[in-house]
Amino acid sequence: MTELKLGVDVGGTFTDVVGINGAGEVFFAKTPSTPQDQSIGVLNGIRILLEQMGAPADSVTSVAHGTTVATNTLLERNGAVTALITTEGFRDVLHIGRQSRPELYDLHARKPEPLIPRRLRLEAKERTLHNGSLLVQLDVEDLKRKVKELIAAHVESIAVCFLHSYANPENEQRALEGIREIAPDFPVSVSSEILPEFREFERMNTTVLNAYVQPRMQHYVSQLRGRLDENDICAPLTIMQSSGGMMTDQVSASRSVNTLLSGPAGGALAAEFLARITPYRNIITGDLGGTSFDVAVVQNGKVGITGEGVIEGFPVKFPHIDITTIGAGGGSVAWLDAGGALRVGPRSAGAVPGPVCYSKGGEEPAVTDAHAVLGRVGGELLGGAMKLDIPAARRAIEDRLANALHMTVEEAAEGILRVANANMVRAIRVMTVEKGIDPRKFVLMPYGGAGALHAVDLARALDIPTVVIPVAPGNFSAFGLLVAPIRYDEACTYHKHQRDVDLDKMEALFRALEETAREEMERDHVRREEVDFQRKVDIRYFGQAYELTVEVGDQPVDRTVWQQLVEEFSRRHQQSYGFRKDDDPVEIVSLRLSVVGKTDHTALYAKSRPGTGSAEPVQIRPAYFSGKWMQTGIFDRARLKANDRFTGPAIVAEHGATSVIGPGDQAWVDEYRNIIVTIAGREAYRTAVASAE
Amino acid sequence: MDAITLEVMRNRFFAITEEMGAALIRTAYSTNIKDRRDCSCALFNVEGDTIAQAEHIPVHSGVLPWGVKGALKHIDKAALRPGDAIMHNDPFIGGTHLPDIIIFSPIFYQGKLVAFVGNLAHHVDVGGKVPGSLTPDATEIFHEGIQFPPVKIKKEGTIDPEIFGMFQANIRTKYESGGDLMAQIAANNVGAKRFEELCSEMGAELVLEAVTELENYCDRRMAAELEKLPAGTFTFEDFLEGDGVTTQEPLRIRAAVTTGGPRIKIDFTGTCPQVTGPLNCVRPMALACIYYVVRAMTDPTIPPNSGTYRRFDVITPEGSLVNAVYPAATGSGNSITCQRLVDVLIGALAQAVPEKACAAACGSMNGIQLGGYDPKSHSYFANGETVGGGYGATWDQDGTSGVNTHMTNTRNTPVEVLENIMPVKVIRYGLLPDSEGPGLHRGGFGIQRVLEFQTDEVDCFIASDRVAAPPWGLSGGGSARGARFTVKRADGRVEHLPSKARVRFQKNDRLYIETSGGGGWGEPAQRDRAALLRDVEDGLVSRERAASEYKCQL
Repeated sequence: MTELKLGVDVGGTFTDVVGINGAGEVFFAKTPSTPQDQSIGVLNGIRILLEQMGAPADSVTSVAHGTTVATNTLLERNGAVTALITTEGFRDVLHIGRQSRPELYDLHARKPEPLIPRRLRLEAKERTLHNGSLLVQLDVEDLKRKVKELIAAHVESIAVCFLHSYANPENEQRALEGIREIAPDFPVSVSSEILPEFREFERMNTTVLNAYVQPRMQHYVSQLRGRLDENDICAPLTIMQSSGGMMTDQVSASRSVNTLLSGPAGGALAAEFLARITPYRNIITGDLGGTSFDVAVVQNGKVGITGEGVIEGFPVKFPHIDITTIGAGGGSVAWLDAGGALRVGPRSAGAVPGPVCYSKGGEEPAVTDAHAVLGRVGGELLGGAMKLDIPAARRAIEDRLANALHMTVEEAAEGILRVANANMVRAIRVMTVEKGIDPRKFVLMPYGGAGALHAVDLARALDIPTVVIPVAPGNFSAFGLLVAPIRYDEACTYHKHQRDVDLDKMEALFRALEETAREEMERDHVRREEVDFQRKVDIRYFGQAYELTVEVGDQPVDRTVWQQLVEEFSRRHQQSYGFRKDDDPVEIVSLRLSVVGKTDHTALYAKSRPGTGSAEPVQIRPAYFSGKWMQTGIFDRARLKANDRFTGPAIVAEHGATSVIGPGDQAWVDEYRNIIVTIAGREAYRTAVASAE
Repeated sequence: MDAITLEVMRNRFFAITEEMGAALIRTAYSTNIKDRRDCSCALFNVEGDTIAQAEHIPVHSGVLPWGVKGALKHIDKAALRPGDAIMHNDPFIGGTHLPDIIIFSPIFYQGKLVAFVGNLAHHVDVGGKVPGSLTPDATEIFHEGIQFPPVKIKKEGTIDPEIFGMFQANIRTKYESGGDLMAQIAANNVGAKRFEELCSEMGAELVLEAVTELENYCDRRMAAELEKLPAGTFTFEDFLEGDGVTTQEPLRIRAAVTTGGPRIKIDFTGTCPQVTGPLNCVRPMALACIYYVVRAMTDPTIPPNSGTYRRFDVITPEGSLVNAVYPAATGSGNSITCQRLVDVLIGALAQAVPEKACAAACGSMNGIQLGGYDPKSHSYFANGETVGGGYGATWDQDGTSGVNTHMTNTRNTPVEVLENIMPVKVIRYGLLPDSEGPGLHRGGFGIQRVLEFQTDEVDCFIASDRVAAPPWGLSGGGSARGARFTVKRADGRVEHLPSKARVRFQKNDRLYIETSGGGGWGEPAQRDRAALLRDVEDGLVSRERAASEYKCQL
């Protein structure tokens, strides 16, 4: 065993670890998350996995990590007390934004309050002009006085964003140095480093988001690095970015904003991977853990990426996987509102105190308690590592809900699931129906610890005929971290009108980008033959504000390459928008280099040997479906083999996840040991669609 | 049609219009479209009625179907061919003002006309007497630029070079405007392509059935909402501050809204006659305001299409400010008059459903046009923008500050963009303290934007209102501070401008734009002390104002 790659995904409730050794064997571990300090849970998980594999700590060669530290910080609004320093006259840019409102016709809709209140938005005497010339040099001494006051007033992080700093970052650099002089290690986010693009609000807002989440993220990453070192794991640590690529721990600590939308990326990449090796090219993913439900769409084998997005009402500008998230999960608390209606979430019991049945002090019934009461999950989880107190869950549902609703405990529990499912159906609709995608032509792929508990009901509600439950759904996101390609994206601004483009300069800039990439690869022990270099140019017609990114291969830039580039741009413009303007000049905006690993992980996902065709349950016990207790076969996922078939009601138990197959649903196991569920009553629709196509 | 199919189709139509908007913005050349997004896209049935519209600019969206329907009366529908595009900007056929150019195209599927796709974009210049075309002293439409009756700018896929040449010849910003025109055509190309794909995927019959079903569905939903309104006739009136040309006298706008049962009647009888200055609205603009207010005050989630408004009876007296006749000037009808129409309609319906209303918002789009000729580059420059203000408070919350209100939702021109394209330096861009309407819930704060001119001979045209009569509060809430426009010359002289003004600036002169806040809701003295203290600490409400308006000594 020369190498051992680890993927670690931290969710709201559980931390998942996946390891692949040099022989291509895959191992999984799952352990409760430790929200106070996620790194404790990470190390617990790694220790369990190493024990299970019998591998020494120093055999670990890489740790790929997906973390929600930055995201949770924003969602819970418990980021650093942040101050903004901006150009005199412009502190309200953060509040005004682009002057537009999110809901056109709703007189009661409001924008979220800025993360920095007006009293902590300070103005500095300085001014740079649009052409980059410095009109007023920053008064550093004045700035230092203000910063001292801010620090004395318990400000924990500072964002600096000056007008036109994309054209000349000098004053921002001066501010940074000034702050460094009085507080060398103070967290400072500078707009010309975070997003060196023009349009002040977008740059300011992204910089402020970074400043707000960065101290927590930095603290976390250094704590995790420390714990890994203490445990003899000296392998490089990489962090999943929102775009689905990996970055080093140091980069992630200073550019925390790039991880804001990374939480659900691992699972989406794993689904994309399955789309490559199975016949299911169109997949709706449903990642349900303890606290959140994330939906992404894989269409024609590709997961959707978008460049501009909104998180918590704040616009963000960096590439990220297109995902919708709602607060719903196994930990979502069920409660009665003032009108007496049964509500579920958005508040979550989280990992601590957790659902009542986890016996960690939770007193309010959660979705998981409903599953426990209805016999959907057995008396223990994680192969016996966690016992469930089902009588306590019953009592909580009875006392807090069923009595007031004049229902039986089972009815109330089923009601909790119905309400939770309705919320999840809405999230799926946002990503499909509302984008003009017909969910009926997709398969639903649930994962996360609780995804497969709800999947068949969600599919039924949306008329999705097929559910595909991957192996180890509870660890699927961590698995995605391992199949995520190594990826470096380098870019530099080279904003030139067609007549001013210097091809030699362009070639030199591309080479400089390649040099940067090589240094990063060297640091991360990536060999040249493992990656593809791809040069790209952002190009548009002079006057436009948005570019098309055109690939130019990796041959040196010369007149022929330039002509091909312009022709390819015009062709793509014609294709996308139906016209080309050969009389108008083009301009290039930036040069990009993508370095993408070409490692093929397909071999890692071993095919299963066929089974007997009829799987036998390991146990038969009652579970509650649609108003009645039914004798239900309990299957052990580890024993299911390719081509095994069974009919619901059935429950499939495995380490870290439970799958429910509803009454009448047909399940079979494919060669990769995915469970393919045909939803009862939808077979006819599927046949009709198939014949229509 | 089953509910899921209908829902998929509805969202599919909507997604097409959103994608059109993205194409328009991504390919446009002018700041007004690529940055400010002063444009709107929609799909129409073969009669020109809206099937779906993107969430762009309410005044455009409400007018667009009338622009398409009006044009269809002037052209031979049978002579339309795939790849045609019809362009017009005639308010009296169906539009707003001349800079808003409508381009629409027929969509054919298997040789049959199945729908139209169209959009409206505000062009930075359409000729006329001043750069940017919108001049507050226009007295007839001929002053406001070139007029295009419906013409085929594109014939079977080929741009007509003669019409395109004529368009460019009449326009100061030839390069940008040419690019924007192509962007409008690109948006329609994308929309038509997606609609054709939808037809081949689902079958044209099913798609057309969904169009009809969707209209009926929207009608059912609106009917149910109208039924919920208490019955009665609710009247409200408000005023504009003169037409900026011949009168400074208040111009009355009056509406009587009659509810009860599944219909609603809006009668503008009593509104003043059309005026000499450019504040006139054509009927479709009044309809757009009605569509906006009724949706906002019933259920904003009802999708907008022709079914949604089937039960509206609207009376707009001919020759009045809300149904002006040719050749009235209409340049500022949408940016000023439409906002007041909204105030009047909300004021009337607030009597029926106060919990759905908001106090008056800043009451004008505060249009600022800048233009001139740069002798160094031998070219014209022009840019227009609208400056937001405060939103009115509601029964439950403070109003939003510094935002575009009601009939517009364009974005600002970023300072960094403005300074790149125009000879101005922005000195300040922020919220305006003490401009809010006080209340239990206060209105939003207005905006202060200070421009310093970097060259001589820059023409500036201000089209605003609510300077003398500020936005009103509701349920005991106070009025906001009115708008102010002040010039500080380089030599120190100060000039206070009326709400509609034309000024010429020289190098180092400054223009102070101060927009109104929004009206407050409820008694100011009952405002939560902690909330008031927060505003004071944030420097948005002065201690003096806290004492005088909120009766609170801090």
